[in-house]
Amino acid sequence: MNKTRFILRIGVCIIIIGLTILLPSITLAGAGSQSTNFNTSPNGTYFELVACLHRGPHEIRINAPQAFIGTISVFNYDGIRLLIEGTKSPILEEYIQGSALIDFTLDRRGAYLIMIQSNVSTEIQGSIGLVEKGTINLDMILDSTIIITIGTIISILALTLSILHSYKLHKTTQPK
Amino acid sequence: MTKNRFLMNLTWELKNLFRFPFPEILLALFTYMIFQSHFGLFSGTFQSLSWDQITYDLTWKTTYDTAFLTLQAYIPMAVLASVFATLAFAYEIENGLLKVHFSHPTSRRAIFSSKFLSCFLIIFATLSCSLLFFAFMYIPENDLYLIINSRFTLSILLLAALESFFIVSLTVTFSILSKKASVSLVGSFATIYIIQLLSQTENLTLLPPRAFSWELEFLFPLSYIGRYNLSMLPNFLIMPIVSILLTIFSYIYFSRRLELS
Repeated sequence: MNKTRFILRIGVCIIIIGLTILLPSITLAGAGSQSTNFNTSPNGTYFELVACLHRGPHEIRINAPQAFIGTISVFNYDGIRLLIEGTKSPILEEYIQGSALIDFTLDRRGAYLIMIQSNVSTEIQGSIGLVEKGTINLDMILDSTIIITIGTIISILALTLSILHSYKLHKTTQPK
Repeated sequence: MTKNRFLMNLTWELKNLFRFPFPEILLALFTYMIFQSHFGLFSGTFQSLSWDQITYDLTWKTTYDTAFLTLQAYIPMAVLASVFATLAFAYEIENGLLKVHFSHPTSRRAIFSSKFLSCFLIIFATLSCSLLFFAFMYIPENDLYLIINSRFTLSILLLAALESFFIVSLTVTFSILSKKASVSLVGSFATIYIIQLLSQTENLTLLPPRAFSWELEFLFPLSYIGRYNLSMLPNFLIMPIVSILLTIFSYIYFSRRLELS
């Protein structure tokens, strides 16, 4: 296999990867929901959860006894780093009492820390659910578009090289 | 001379299996199977950890979830491995092409190795490519730590290699024993599918693809433990040993017992 054909194959493979990432991002939009149980010890203790979330609107569903009073905070990747260093800068912070529904929108895909702080003197058990609302995964579409563009550029480059090569070959084999 | 012959055979076999559009179809199937999964949650006491430990945990989570997805691609892998093993062995035996190979001054060992390796490489390369794309797109901000903690990234590749090795060894054995393209194609896929059904419906954890969960647990020990759990080593070794035995059996049959009419 010559070099230009090899580069062209790589370009086509990258385009195919991009297209197949794009397809589930469109067809499976809004299908994601995750849930887990949580347990908070008395006063001022935390329950921490890391979730990998897409860009777009989300909903947190907290199912807890009516006696539960606390705060829920959501930190992005940089927020987690700042939290470790001692600065609390959540992208969302809400006071909750009992069960609650909290809507929030993320502007990028990544790891998010969800922290529930208990402000009651008893141990509380509950459950937390994360729902991705029914919109298209814009960040995955954007990423797949970038991948498709890279693949297209590589393919065009390979085709140009191939045309140049055949033109050169044609020129040298032509009788003067 | 023998080494050159082996390389020549391998190049020829690779050209045969890597021709358009085989790798492209594999890539599309694997990528679709892997990227349709949803992300997961994990809890812990993150505030008490250092930043290095948190990035380590995120890397572990990324690679564990990615490695788990190798099981998602099991059935498409089985279908395509059956096709490749049939093309490389049974089809050539049936059509008499293997006789032409044997008439060359090449050992049967070189022919078998080049055919087996090409079947393995096409599946492993495309699966790894899809898995690495997924791993690097999972938490984009943490990608640097995915490179720094390369042990986990390499473990994904090892798991993909073990799974590909098992499937290829089984399909190749079927292909050599059957000697007929149709029997090899249907038989090997049916066997893999029945094993998969038994593993899932009868809860038989020693059968693939569930058996690969042992490998996953061994290669990705929980981040707070941080080292390999040696008590799981016997379970980890089951599938590689089965694959090696199948490969040795098919090699011996191919090199000593295979008679071409």
